[in-house]
Amino acid sequence: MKNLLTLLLPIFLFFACDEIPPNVGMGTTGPEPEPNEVVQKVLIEEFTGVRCVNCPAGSEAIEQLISIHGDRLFAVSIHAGQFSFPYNESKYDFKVEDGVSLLSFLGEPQGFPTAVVSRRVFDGKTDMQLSKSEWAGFIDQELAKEATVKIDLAGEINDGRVLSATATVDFLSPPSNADPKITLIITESNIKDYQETPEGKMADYKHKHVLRDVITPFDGESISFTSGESSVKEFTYNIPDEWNTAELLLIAVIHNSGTDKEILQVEALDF
Amino acid sequence: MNYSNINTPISFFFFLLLSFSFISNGNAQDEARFSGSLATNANFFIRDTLIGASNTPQYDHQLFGGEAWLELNYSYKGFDVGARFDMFNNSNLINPQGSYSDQGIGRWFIHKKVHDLGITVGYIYDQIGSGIIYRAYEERPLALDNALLGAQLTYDLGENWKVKGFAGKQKNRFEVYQSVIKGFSVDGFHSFGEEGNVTIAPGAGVVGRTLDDNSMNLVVSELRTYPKDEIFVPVYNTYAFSVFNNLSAGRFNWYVEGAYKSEDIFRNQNGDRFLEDDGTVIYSSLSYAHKGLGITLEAKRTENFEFRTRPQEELNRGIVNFLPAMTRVNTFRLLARYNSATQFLGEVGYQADVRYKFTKKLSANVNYARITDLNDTPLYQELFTEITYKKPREWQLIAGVQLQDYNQEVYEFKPGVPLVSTLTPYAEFLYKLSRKKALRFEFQYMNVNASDLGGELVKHDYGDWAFGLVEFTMAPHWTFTLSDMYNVGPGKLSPTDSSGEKASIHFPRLDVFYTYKSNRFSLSYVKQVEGVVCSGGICRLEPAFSGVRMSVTSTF
Repeated sequence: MKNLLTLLLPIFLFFACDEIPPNVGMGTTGPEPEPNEVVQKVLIEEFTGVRCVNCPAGSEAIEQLISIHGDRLFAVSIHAGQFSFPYNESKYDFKVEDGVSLLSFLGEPQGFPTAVVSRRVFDGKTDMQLSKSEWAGFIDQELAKEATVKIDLAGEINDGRVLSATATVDFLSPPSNADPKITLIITESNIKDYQETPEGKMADYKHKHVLRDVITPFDGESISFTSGESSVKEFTYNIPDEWNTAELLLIAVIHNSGTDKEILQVEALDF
Repeated sequence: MNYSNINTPISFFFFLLLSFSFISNGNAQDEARFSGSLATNANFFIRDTLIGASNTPQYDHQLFGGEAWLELNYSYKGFDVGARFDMFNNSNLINPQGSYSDQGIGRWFIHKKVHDLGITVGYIYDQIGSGIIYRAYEERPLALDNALLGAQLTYDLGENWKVKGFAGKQKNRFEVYQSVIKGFSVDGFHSFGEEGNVTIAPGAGVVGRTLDDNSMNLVVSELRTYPKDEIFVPVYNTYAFSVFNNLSAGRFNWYVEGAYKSEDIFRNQNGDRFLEDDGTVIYSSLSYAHKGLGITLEAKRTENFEFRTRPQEELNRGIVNFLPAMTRVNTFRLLARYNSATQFLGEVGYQADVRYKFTKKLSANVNYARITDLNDTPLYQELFTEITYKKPREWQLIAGVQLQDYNQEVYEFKPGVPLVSTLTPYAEFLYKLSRKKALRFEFQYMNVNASDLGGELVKHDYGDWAFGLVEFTMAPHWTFTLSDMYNVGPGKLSPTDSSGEKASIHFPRLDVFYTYKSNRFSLSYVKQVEGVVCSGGICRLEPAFSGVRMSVTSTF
């Protein structure tokens, strides 16, 4: 019995040790970047629908994450899947063919709201689709990565509503993927239309980051890599009359292709 | 074939195996013993869109899925070594909606007892007390295998006391979770009185879990998105303590265990927020047995006792402990349709079981269980009655009634669905045709309650069921079973057929079993409705299955 107590005593003393907790500070991740440093930016592709009652909570979470990360995080809301069919009273149908193709391309989700971060299958996950509570952590993880690609995006929309854009891509190190690609996405924000919410159907819900079109093929266009040289891609696109050019965002995504679809870098341009 | 998952220790294991086969000298006491077991399932998927057996890779194009576990053990001169080869081919066991393929060494271990010191390294299965603070075990139908990859030392203090210490990381399929788990326990035994008819078996244990940096970073990232009043300071280390005792005195047996867990991070009931709090469990079981009477009373109260390797894990993944189930295990098909899954966040449960043997031929069993959450919301209630009448060597009749209340909203994550109440009379008749041939019949009818839905009375869940089974046994080898589960009165969640009406679907099943010595083969044609499969209160949502199932188990 005495031996037993001597054995147990150090165990109890051990629990008197304190741990230093992590810092749950508010604000953006990490120190301010150097002036010429290439900063890693992240794309979150959310799948949503006007009939999806829980999706406004997902959109709200994305707005909050954008307010934390500023211009290092870009979002696309893709209306596809079982909840995306418009109501009879809906003004618009936000479903586009490229969006439906992207849902199938990135993987069917288990439930909504759901989003894909950097088109990665993270450790411990079996597919790309992530539930709302997981987005913050994985976005932070991606933002902490060292950038391997630099994108310079320039463009304008002329009076004839023709968008011309130039993407200058520099691979800071040779790409490991055999066929890196570029995808160019146009989104429009603040479109007022019907949306199902937990409080009922809302007639003038402000839809943000709605995927309007993918200028390149939905799964990207091959981009060449030559050591020491930039790859330059030029695009033109006719903006339809119904779109509000002031709310458009052009997003350039450089990503891998094949079984690994990981996004390497993102850049965006507004007008 | 992908070999990258086979751990390097396997080469060490084979080296040991080879070295033992050379030094074995034929002495009876030192004889080497080689044993093992095989379990394998093969599923052939046949699409059936009406019952929901479709839209997964297996039903769409893979058409076949299977699992296999081959265990080999070797004992020699006090050394025990073992390894288990696990294989999953297009398996839907781990994720019912997906397809998982991988194979490799699922377990290896080396064990040696040196005088009073026991040493084990490798993948270790063990528990402390009844498992409330720590249980590493395997439950294949639930795809649960949370063995600890690490080292364990046990030391015998005299004849009656034993201390145990272990440390390691929990297995996560063919990898490990990065958080570190360590524990210590002491178990004892003491008998009082001259005849030693009063005994106690006390014990205590402590388990600590240290969160890894990566998981903590994900927690911190998520916390930064919370409103200021919901942000907490997360802790890396969580400690769970428990004290337990089993008292046996004459006709009574009393087991009690109390556990406390320090602050830990876990998901709220909705699964959309992290919370941090400490937790408690108190569990007790009292039983009395004398002549033909057996009475068992059990009670348990759980609060915030979710204990995982990391708070991001969901369902049955990354669980460190095991809380005893508070309800009986039902074996008849319809009686086992609704089960109470153990609620780790908050639960109060009671169970009373009385058995009485009137005569050699007649016996009865009554069981009552009630489970509520900490706010007294009813989760589960069951009244089970059974009467058994035997005519020895001729026939046996078992009959009874079961009443249940089942909170489908909480147990099956189906928000808004009403409470399911069932009344199920049942009967089983076993008739011995000859010394080697027997015929068994089963019949059950489940009545489910209904509620007003838009002016129409609609039955809850799938509504009423009828079940019938005929089984013919030809000892010692063959058993043939034919059964049908019929959705005689479809309910709210029953599928609708092409005409838009609720369909009354049959779910037939044909099984053939062949047993030879320690080998068992089975071949079944199955149509199974979606439901929940539980083992010891740990449950898994099982989707509908349609196809042919083959399984083989063997021990050698």
